[in-house]
Amino acid sequence: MASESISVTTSDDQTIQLSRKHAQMSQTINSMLEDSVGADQEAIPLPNVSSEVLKKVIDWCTHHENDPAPVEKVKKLNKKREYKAKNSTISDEWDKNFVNAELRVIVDILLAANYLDVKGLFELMCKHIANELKGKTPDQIRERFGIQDDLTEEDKAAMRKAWGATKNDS
Amino acid sequence: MMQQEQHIEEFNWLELAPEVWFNIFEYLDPLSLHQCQSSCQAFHEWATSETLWEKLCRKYYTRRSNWYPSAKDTDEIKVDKTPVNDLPGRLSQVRLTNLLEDSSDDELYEWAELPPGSQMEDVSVQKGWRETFRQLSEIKLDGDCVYWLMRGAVAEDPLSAPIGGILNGTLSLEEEDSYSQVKVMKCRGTGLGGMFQVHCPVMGNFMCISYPQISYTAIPTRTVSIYNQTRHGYASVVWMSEWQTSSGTGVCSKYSMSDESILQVIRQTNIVDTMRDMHRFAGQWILNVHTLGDEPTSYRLKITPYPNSSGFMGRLVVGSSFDQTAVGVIWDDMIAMAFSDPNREEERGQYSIIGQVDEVEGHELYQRFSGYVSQGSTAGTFWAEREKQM
Repeated sequence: MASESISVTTSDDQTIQLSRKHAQMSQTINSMLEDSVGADQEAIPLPNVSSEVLKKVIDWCTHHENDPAPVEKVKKLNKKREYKAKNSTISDEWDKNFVNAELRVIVDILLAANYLDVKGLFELMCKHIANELKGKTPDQIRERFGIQDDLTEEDKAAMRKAWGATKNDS
Repeated sequence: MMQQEQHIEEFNWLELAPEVWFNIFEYLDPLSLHQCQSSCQAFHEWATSETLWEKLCRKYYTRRSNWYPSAKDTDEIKVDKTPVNDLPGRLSQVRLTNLLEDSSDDELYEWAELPPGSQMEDVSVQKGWRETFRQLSEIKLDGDCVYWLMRGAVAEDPLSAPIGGILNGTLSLEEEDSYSQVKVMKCRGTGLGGMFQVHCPVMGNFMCISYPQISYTAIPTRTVSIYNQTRHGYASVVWMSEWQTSSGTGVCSKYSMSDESILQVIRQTNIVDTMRDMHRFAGQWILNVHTLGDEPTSYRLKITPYPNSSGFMGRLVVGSSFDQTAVGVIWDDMIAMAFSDPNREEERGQYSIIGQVDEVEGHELYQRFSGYVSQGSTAGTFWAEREKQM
C-alpha cells in the first residue's frame, strides 16, 4: 500500500513531508511517483524549489485540496472572432490574501507552480501578475518589473501606428 | 528585507519562459496588452506572437480570408469555366511578383494585411524589409485558412543557406468545433529553393515549394503553388511568392475554394495550380517541354522526386547554355515547376510552368504523358516520361 505521505528534498536541502493528496496536485511530483512505483521510497528531489516556497505551495494545496480536479477545457471556436481575454478576477478571498505578497514571493511561487505543474496555482499567479500589469503605462510596467527600455523611437512609433490601426479596426 | 529587495532586483522577468508570459498576457485586455508590448522588445515579441493571438482574437484572420474569394462567395463570382487548356496567357494577368517588387514596405504590409504589431511589421519597420534575417516562419491559422510567413534563404551565400529546417512547427486548426493538430513537417530543400510539407488531419497533406532564385539579384522570384483536395470537396490552394535580393522572405497563404473558383485564382495569381489526388511516385522522370512562344524552346529536365511526396527537384537543361535547377510538383494530371531562364531578359530570374496532362500513354518500360503548359505569356506543350517501376 502506498505511503500516505511523501518526502521531498528542496533546493536548500530541507526534507519536507507532504501528503500524497497534495503531492498529486503537482503533475511533476505525480509523474515522479508513478515512475518510481515499486522502487525504494526515497525523498523526491525538487532542486528548483526552496523549502520556504514549497511551504507556500503546500498552503495553497491545503486550501484547495477539495477543489474539483481541473478539467482540460476543450476550446470552442470563437465564432465572433472578437478579442477575448481570460477573466483575471480572483474571487476567492483566501487566494486574494495569498497573492497579497511581495513580488519576489509571487515570482518564486509562480516559478515553483510552473515547475511543479500545479495548474490552479500557476493560473492564480498569472492572474495576479496580469492584474499587476493592467492599467499601467509602459514606463510604469518597466519600473515595476525592472525592465530596460530597449525599444527605439521607430519601434514605438510603429507600435503606436499599429495600435491606431487596431482601434480603427475594432 | 534588504536581501529580498536585492533578490527581486536580480530577478530578470524576461527570463520567464515565453509560455508563462503567453499565459499572463491571455488575461490582458487589448489596451493593457498594447502597453505591455510597448515596454520592451521581448514583451513586444511575445505580445504579438501568433501563439497568443490565436487564442485572443481571430478578427484579423477573418479580414485576410476576405482577401480572396472564399468558397461561400463563389456564387457571386463569374467563374470562367473555360477549360484550362483553352486559356493561353491567362497566367500573366496578375503580376503578383511585380506587385511585390514595386511596392514600398508600407504597401506590402497593407497588401499582406498582417495584423498590426505582427512580426512581419517588426521586420519591415525595424530592420528593413529585405534585410537578412533568419527566423522561424510564422504560421497563422483560422478555420480552413492557413497563413504563414516564410523567412527564407539567407544572404551571403544562398547556395549554402538551407531553407530546410527553418520551417518547422506545430499549430492548431479549428474547423467547426473540433481542434486538430496541424504539423508543419520538416522542410526539405537547398539554398536554391525549399519544399515543405504540411500535415493536417482534417485537410490531409499539402505541400509547398519555394524557389528563391539564386543569382540575378533583385528579381523577385515566383513560386509554385500547391493544392489539396479536402475531405469537404474544396480544393485548398496554397500560393507562395518569394523573392530574393540578398535575402528573402515570402508570404504564403492557404485557403479553401470550390473547384469552380480555382480557375479564377489561376487567372489571378499566375502561380497556382490544382491537384486532385496527390500522386506519389518514385524514380526519375525526363520532362521535355516545348514552348510555342516567340522563341520556341525545348527543355529537358531530369528530375529526382522527393521520397514520399509529389515534389521533385532536378536539373533543367536547355541546349548547352542553360543549366538550371528547378523545383516542382507533379500530380497525376498536373505539373507545376519553377526555374529561371537567364537567357530571356524579360523572364530573367524567374520562370514557371504550370501544365495539365491530357494524355498518358503506357509503354513497356515507361509511361509518357503529354499536355499543355503556360509560361508567362507563352504557351506550349510538353511531354514527359517516367520509367516504370520494375
